[in-house]
Parts: sequence; C-alpha cells; structure tokens
Amino acid sequence: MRVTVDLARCTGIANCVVQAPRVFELGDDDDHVRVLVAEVPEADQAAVQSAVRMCPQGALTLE
Amino acid sequence: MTVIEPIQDLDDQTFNPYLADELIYGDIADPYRSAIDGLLARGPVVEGFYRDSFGMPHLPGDEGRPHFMVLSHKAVDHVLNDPITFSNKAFEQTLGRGFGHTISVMDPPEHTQYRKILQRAFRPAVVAAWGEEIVGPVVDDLIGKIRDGGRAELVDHFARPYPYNVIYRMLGLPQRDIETFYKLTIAQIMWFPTDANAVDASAKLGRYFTQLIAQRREAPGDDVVSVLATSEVDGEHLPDDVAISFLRQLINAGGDTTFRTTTALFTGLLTNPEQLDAVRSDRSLVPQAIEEALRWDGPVVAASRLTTTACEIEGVAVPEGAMLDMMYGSANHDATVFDRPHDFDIFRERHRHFGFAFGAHNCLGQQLARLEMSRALNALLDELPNLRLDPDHPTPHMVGAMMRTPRQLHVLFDR
Ligand code: HEM
Ligand code: SF4
Repeated sequence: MRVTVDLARCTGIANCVVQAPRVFELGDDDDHVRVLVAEVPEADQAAVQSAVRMCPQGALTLE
Repeated sequence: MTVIEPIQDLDDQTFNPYLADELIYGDIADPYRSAIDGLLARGPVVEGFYRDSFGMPHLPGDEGRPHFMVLSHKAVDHVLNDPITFSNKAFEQTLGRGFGHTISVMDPPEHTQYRKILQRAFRPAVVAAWGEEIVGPVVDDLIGKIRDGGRAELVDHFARPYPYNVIYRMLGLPQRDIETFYKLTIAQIMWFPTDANAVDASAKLGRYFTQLIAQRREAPGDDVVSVLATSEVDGEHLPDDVAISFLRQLINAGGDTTFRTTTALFTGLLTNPEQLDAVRSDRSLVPQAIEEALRWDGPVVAASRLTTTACEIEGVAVPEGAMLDMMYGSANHDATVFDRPHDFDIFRERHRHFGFAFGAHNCLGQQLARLEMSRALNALLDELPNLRLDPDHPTPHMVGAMMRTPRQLHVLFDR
C-alpha cells in the first residue's frame, strides 16, 4: 500500500499525523505534510485508511 | 506597559446567560426522528427552513432569499468541497455581526491566507503542550471537586465549565474578568428577541481584546493572544480586526461546542453501559467513542452557506443567492451510509462524518477538542471507579433542535 498527498489541497490540519505518526509528519515551519515511507507497513495500514477518511481536504490518496 | 482595564459588564443587568439554552434551542427531545428523517425521505436537498420544523424564528439574513436544506451525506459532501460556489458569506448577518470579520465569514483566497496563520497557533505540537500544561490541570481541578462525593451531576459540575476554563487559560485571562467575559461571549450571539445585547457585548469584548493585544505585543507570553499578536506567515501580520474577531469567536466555537460534545459522549456511553464497560477496560477505544459522539449528536446540527451562482446539488436545481441550511446532523444520520443511524454505537463501521464539517472551513480546533474529550473521559474512568448512571434520576437524554446537551447527567461512583 502506498499513500500520496496532494500538496495543493493539504492545509496542514494534521489529522493524518495524529492518526499515523509513523507515516506522516508536519514540519515545524511549513504547512504541508510529508509522507515518511514509500510503502506503508502492514502495522500502519489501518491507521492510514483512517487518515484518508479523516483528511478534511481530501488530500490523501491510496494506491 | 499597558495596564488592562477590567472588562465592562452588559448595560442590560437582567441578562442571564444560563437561561439562554432553552430560549434559543428549544426543548425538542429528538429532532432526528421527529423532523430530520422525514426531511431526508423527501430528497437530498429540499426547499425550506430547518427551523420551520420547530417553529423557531428565521435567522437575520434569511429574509427575501430562496432557502434550501442540504440533507444527504452526498449532498453535504458536495457543497463542502466547493467553497467558491457555496460561500461562507452566509454567516455575515449572524456570526459576522457578533464576531466581526472572522474566518467563518471569509471565502478563498482571503480565507486561505488567514486560516493558514491561525492554524499555526493550533499545530499538533502546540496542542500537545496545552494538553500537559492547561487541559490536564483543569481536568484534575474539576474532578478533585467531585471525587469524594460518590455522586455528581456532570453537566454543570464538569462538562460546561471544562472547555471554558481551558480557553481562559489559553488566553491568559485575568481571573477577575472571567465571569463577565463568559456572560458577554454568550450574549454576543443572542439575536432574539432583540440584538441589543449582542451589539453591546461585541463592542465591549472588542475593546477588551484591543487592550489585551496591545499588552501582549509589548510583553509576549506563550498564550494564544500573544501568538496571534505576534504571528506572521510569509511576512504577513494578522490584522488586528481579524485577530479580535477570531478571539471573539473562540469561546463560542471552542467552548460551547466542546462542552456539548463532551456531554454527548458521556450520555452515549452512560446510557449504553456495555459500551461504557468496553471503553473502561480498553482505552484504545476512546478515539472511536469520540468520533461516534460527534456523529451521533454533534452540536453543529446545522450551519449555513450561500450560493454564488445557480447550481445543481445531487440533481436538485438551486438558484443563485440561495441560503442553505447545511444539515450536518442529517448527513450524519443518513441511513444509506450509517446503519441504525440513531443508535450510539462505538463499534459501528466507520465512515466520514461531518461533526467538524469538512473542506476549507473544517473545524480549526479539532485536535484540541479531541484531546480535551479524551482527557476528560480517561480521567473520569480513572478517578471515578464504577462510574454509572444514578437510578434515582430519570434517564438522561439530549435536548434541543441544535447545540444539543442533556439538561443534567446524574452519576454514581465508588469512593
Ligand atoms: C467538539 C467540539 C467542536 C465541534 C463539534 C466543532 C465543530 C465545528 C464545525 C462543524 C465547524 C464548521 C462550521 C461551518 O461549516 O462553517 C467548525 C469551525 C471552526 N471551529 Fe470548531 N468545533 C469544536 C471545537 C472547536 C475548538 C476547541 C476550537 C478552537 C479552540 C474551534 C474553532 C473553530 C474555528 C475557528 C472554526 C472556523 C473555521 C473556518 O471557518 O475556517 N472549534 N467547528
Ligand atoms: S489531514 Fe489532510 S489536510 Fe490535514 S495535514 Fe493531513 S493531508 Fe494535509
């Protein structure tokens, strides 16, 4: 499972960071989220699915 | 250094903020079964006013405009994803009148720019720090007052004061000003029977915040007012009028809502003891209990949008200049998405809910709100052993056409 962020949509509310902190990170000085892993580990897949559902901007996509 | 003068009370000395609830939101027991189900059955978008279901007065700004209710999960989702066609100018005569030029009445691109600056003040690291320094101590303080009694009433003695006390500390408000401050923040959204108190309260809060901002700009601390007074993004300062409007809104947006959702969470669990037991013994269920409370009976049953052009929503034609009731409460009870939608069920299959809305104007304070509710529930379960409803009182239920809460929540626990 892979996850991507559409940076044009992401506004940094960070629901994804709270759901899956091992997968998403918000820098100290920017408003966009970064995906930390190329391939989502098994253990984080449920959390990432929940992040996709909870992203208020619809900025996250699963592949 | 600027000295802050005490906040001024309302001219109208008879105003009682604690009586406001029943007056504004009515004593409707179950708007979902008595009104919303029937509206949803008529279609995804239906012409009319939600407020008419209960004979409630229309809002300022409604007059002379076509009026529709956006009801289904899909229709609400559609509108929230298009902030250009569906404008937040809808709130100009209501929230805008009480609070001023807040982000709630702005549209992109202006909204995007200010929202970015404000969101900085609520980033996850900041919210986590508030959890330790502010939320934790407030919870301890409130629980300390009820712990030894073996019984308590959780609306007035826990849930209502809780988020307000968090916000007072976030703002670094002088103790002497708190009582009047609370009264003014409730009064500023009272448009009925006249808006005299709202106008008076809004002006007095504005004067007060102007002083606070000046003082914190000279000697910044780590409170929210200091952050707003000094923050900039891409070299842009937050204009004072936007900061002041945000501060005016903060207590209503963050206090009243969190208070009510916390009572929904407690009510849902206490009236479903098997779910309460499950959460008590497995705290990893707390986050899904919170999401279910937001879905089941989140306080923002209805919000507003204004169409900037003629459009179609889920096949229903809506003209330009139409006011929309954004029925989050209805979308969250849409039976095509949620099985047995009126039941509180923390184990239900999860779908997107609109308790914090979605899209451009989604709740700015949602991380803080989730943290507050999580701290509150965990503390109650830790500190009040065998927490359960008090059988000497009628079973509690949520009340009101919107901004719902039970009037009282009597509980027993072991000492
Ligand atoms: C459980 C508690 C809460 C609930 C249910 C809630 C719900 C909502 C909803 C539904 C909206 C969108 C309104 C619309 O569609 O126009 C919203 C917006 C907002 N909320 Fe919350 N809220 C809560 C707590 C908070 C807290 C704690 C804060 C701040 C400390 C806050 C600050 C805001 C602000 C500033 C907005 C306006 C955002 C914008 O227009 O861009 N809320 N909230
Ligand atoms: S939840 Fe969505 S909008 Fe928020 S930071 Fe994550 S990707 Fe961005």
